[in-house]
Amino acid sequence: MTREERRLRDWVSRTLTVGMAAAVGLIGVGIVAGVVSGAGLEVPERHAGPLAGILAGKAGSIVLLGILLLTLTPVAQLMAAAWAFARAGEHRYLVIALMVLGLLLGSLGVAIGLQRPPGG
Amino acid sequence: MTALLLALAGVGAGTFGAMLGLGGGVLIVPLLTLAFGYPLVVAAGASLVAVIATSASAAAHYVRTGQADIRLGLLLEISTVIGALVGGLLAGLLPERVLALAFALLLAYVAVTLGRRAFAARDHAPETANEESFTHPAVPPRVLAPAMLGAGGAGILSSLLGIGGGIVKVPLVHLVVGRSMRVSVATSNFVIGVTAAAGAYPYLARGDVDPAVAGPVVLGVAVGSALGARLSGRIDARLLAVVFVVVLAVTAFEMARRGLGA
Repeated sequence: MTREERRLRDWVSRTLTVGMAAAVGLIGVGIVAGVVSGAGLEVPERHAGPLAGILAGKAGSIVLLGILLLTLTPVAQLMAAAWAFARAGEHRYLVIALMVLGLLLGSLGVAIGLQRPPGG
Repeated sequence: MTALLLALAGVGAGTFGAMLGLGGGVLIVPLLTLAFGYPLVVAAGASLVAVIATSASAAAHYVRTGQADIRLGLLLEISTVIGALVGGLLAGLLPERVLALAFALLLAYVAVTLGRRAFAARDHAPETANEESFTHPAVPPRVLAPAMLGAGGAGILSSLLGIGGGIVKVPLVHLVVGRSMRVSVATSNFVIGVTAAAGAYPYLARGDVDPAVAGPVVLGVAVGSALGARLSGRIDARLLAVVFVVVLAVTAFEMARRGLGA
């Protein structure tokens, strides 16, 4: 196996591991906080966002932040793959990785654009 | 107590899903709707998030050990993300019964095809990958178009039904591209996370992901999928294919019942 191939596998694998660990850690902290406080995992407002909920002391918002981080892990995975392909000079797969990254970010943008207004 | 039961359900779905490259969605959605009584939209939202967890956990192992074909996975991701977008738009247009029946037929076809291969005497799978070092050959140009078309279909199903789409991707990589069952499962796991993320964004944006449901399920799935990925390396590839066929047949039966309103 070439050094470039090893680097590609290491970067993608580590990105997935770190993203997953951080997300699951946040979710775990949120669940424990919800159980310990006895308040459960409710979020204050459907559209307020997790940071507003965390500032309001809602354990459910910590869980929601972990879930958001989890859904962004594939984005980070694609960025890691693209960077490894760029370093290896594999331009074909660099373009393909960037194309998938653009499509995924585009779907995120479409979803945000279709977001229902509060009370809607 | 409910959180603990949800987490245990996640462990089971994660273990089985990672071993079979399913992502666990086809197990989580029925569990949450039939066993726990949650609305389908909440089950699908939690399922898609859990599927990302399954993929991230298992794919990290598969990529590190070289079992997942990253380049093939990226090619499939182009069409599977587009499919997930199209599926999201189609979701509100097609009757659920039509979708369920079409899904059941697809599952039955794949189960029969894979079953025949698994039970064939010797020549049951074209082994083009080097199983010792897991260096993967280039994708033959002649299979690229059908493989990407199939991955696009898997992306549509993922968005419509709240699954990762591994039920389509594993046989696709195995039968169309010609990779071994083990490489197919590993590569499918690599692709599933991206597909599920594209499908999960609309659920998150609509506020349909309930932290009280998705949180414990994700925790359980994280543990289960790591376990399943390690177990799959120690299980005979043919046995894996047989188990997969059984899961496909059972899921096809349930989907047909839903489609016929039974």
